[in-house]
Amino acid sequence: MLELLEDLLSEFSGVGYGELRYHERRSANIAMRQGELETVSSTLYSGVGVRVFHRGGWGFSSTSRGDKESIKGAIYDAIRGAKAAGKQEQAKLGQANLARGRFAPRIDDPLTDHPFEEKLALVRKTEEKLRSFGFIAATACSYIENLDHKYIVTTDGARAEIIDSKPEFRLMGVAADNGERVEASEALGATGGWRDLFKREPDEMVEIVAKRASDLLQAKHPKGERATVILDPGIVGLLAHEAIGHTVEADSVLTGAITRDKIGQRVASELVTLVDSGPSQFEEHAAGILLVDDEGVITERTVIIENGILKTYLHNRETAGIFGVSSTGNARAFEYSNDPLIRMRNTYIEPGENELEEMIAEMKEGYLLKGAGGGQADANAEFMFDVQEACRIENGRMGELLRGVTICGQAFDVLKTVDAASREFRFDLGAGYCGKLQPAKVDAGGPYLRCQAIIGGRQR
Amino acid sequence: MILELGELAVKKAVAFGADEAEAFLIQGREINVRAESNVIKVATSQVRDGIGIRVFSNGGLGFASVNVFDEKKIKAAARDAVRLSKAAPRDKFNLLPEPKPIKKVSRLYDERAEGFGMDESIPLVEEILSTARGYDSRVTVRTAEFNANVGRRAVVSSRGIREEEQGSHFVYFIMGMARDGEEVSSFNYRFDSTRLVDEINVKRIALEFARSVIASLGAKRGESFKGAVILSPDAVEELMMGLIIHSINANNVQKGMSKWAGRLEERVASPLLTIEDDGLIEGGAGSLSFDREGLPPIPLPIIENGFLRTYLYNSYTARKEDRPSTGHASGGTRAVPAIGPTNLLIKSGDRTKDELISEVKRGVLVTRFSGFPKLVSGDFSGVVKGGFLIENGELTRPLIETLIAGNLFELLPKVSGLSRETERIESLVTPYIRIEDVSITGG
Repeated sequence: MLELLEDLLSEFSGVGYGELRYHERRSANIAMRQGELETVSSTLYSGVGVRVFHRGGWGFSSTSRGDKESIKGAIYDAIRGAKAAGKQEQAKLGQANLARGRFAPRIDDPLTDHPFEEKLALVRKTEEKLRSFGFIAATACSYIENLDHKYIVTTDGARAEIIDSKPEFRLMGVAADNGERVEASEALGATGGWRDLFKREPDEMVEIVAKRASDLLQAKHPKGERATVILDPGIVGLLAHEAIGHTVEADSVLTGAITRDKIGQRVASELVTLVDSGPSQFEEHAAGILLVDDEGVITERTVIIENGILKTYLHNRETAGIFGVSSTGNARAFEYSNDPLIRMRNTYIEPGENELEEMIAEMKEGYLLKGAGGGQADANAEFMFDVQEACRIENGRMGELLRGVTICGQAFDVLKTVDAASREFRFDLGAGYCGKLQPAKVDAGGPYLRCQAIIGGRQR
Repeated sequence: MILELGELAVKKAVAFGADEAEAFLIQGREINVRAESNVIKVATSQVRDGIGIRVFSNGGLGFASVNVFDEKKIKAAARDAVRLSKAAPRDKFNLLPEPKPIKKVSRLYDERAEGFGMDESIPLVEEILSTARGYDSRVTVRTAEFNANVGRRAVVSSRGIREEEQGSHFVYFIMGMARDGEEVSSFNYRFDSTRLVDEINVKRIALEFARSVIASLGAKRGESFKGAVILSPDAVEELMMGLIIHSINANNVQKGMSKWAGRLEERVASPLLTIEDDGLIEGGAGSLSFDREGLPPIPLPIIENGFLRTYLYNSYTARKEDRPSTGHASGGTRAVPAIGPTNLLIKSGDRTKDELISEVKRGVLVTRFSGFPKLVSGDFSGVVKGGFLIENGELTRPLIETLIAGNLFELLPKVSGLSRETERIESLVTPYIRIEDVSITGG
């Protein structure tokens, strides 16, 4: 296939840039709910995505057929699209560290060594165990794996073969009592093999979910207020990704995101260093690991905010050209039939020097917030996240457990109020997907952070 | 030709040892033109093929899909599905449905869509951009997009189902914000879709989008109080529909994941609220002659004057209750059939939107809602986007950083008014809805 793609590069004559990306994805999906096997599937999704850049316009086309004539047809369509869209004379792609060779993450215990029967048995056993708790009224457990094999060649010299392996495991339980119902969940995601995924044993996840659901069932709702809060690593990751990360994607900057013209300015407390990294940092199997992006660029560790100062945006080759910098390797396409967009990888805030215990002890009142839920944010960095639980802190001590809350605020304002960050660090969104026209597998994390935010709750 | 491939898949699966087999196929062509940062950026043309094969062997479920219409690969997928089904646990409800008569819904397909290409799509995106930017130069378009889809879908099964249908679908949207000096407004979007070429109208969404982002400039933090909220059609969709669709899904009902389990024929909402599902509407965005399993969708009252009337079933969940499927099997070629609504229609009220506002002493008009209502408990808490404060019956100012929170199951009985005006958002038609006693938190 690689030779065929290289031969076909000659078809791109007369246009500025051409790119061929073969992507074969084999997926498996097993899902149990309430003792019932809802899904057991095996999917093969493969094809070639073709992109052409010409006078500032892009043409994209794809075909699921891997033969020469079909790919040629797609190239022709993409050229036609680029010529139709391209109206800016001088547009040029930026510099990039183009990949040549074979790239694969470290996989210790390949998923293909584990038979389907073993995966099915684990999902069934884990779901059954959670269901055996008397107060658990509903359960769900699932396993998903995506095994990728890609070849990327470009007219300006990328020539890469890329292997990837990303499994996920999720568990959810609903506790019920007197018509009251609360949900708790735990999830794992990794880049790597079977052993790399199960950093936590499924049995331990069962215990955590059951206990949290049962505790929350007894808990009251907090009241809405502006408060001092400690965010756990998962919530910090969500904040870094959702509320900050999206505003520094260069395509978003070009359309007027709040970070425009802010490079070199203070945007956060000096305790904050925020990074988006393709290669692994801190955790060898973080789920957002991306060695080569979908424009064939070798990814890097990109420091977005260094000690509170905004340093760079996240770029693909096109925005790198516009800003006069090099691509940071953030162009990603979910499947062959998607065109690459600027997306994050592993996004995190670097650890600090405090101990969590002392961060709590120093507080007069506030909350420790745990468990990132869904999140949304705006181009003006206003965000809203669900968190699973809120523990009251009073006079330096942990107090009452309260139901999940929503936190909101303007992310840069929140980051300016950071006055402590823990030594303890963790990636915690490995089962997460980011959605921006198409999904992308990402990870995010950080230390425990103490800051000010608005909590939305309701009182009974 | 796709019916023949479906037959081949079913035949092969049975030959490999499946008791029953079903194939769902999609063949489509898509043109997409996207503008980013106010200029046309990408023109895309794609062909999509896909087949999903579901088999049952001794009551065990197996499923495999492949996106290439190649006989060898389809055969391999059939073998894969059978292999999985033999390892899966037995479930006595795993049986395929019997065929039912299908009546074709009209106006789902426009022949002219076949010739609709980039040359037709590009001027429409240009029109979206120029309309929005022409309204006010502070409007910034993050993305504007036009999609033209045309294709066919088919279901074939070893029980004798053999259905095929053509469809066309044009979807267009705009999203972005307004920027005035240092101030960046709330993000907003508008979209619309249609089945027929003559009904494409991109100007309307561009203008509505531009008006809404400009109106949200100058927003300030709100105050905290308990009061009425008026949900725009978009906010109805974002805040209420996910929960309602979840709660009427028979699979969730049967598995204890729906608060409406065991509540049929009981009052679950205000007497003002009536919601129907109708998959047979001519030209409807969510209309289809047959569902993901090849059965006709039955038009149903979901909520009638506040009373819960029915859940939505596919054949598996129906068989568990020994009743017929309602024809609401949903999904594509890459997953087993799920359950989903077709077109949802919320009955309009007797007052205008302005009358609804004029009756509110203190409240919030919610243009968009950003948040995730908990689908099981109904608890929600989220941010009001492009919201306005209502004081003494009038809109007084735009709001930012305002949260609304509560429990939707407790609030549905507190619906106090629906507007006469309705809007269609893809397959949902809804009026403005006013709800009392919502807790509102300002920054």
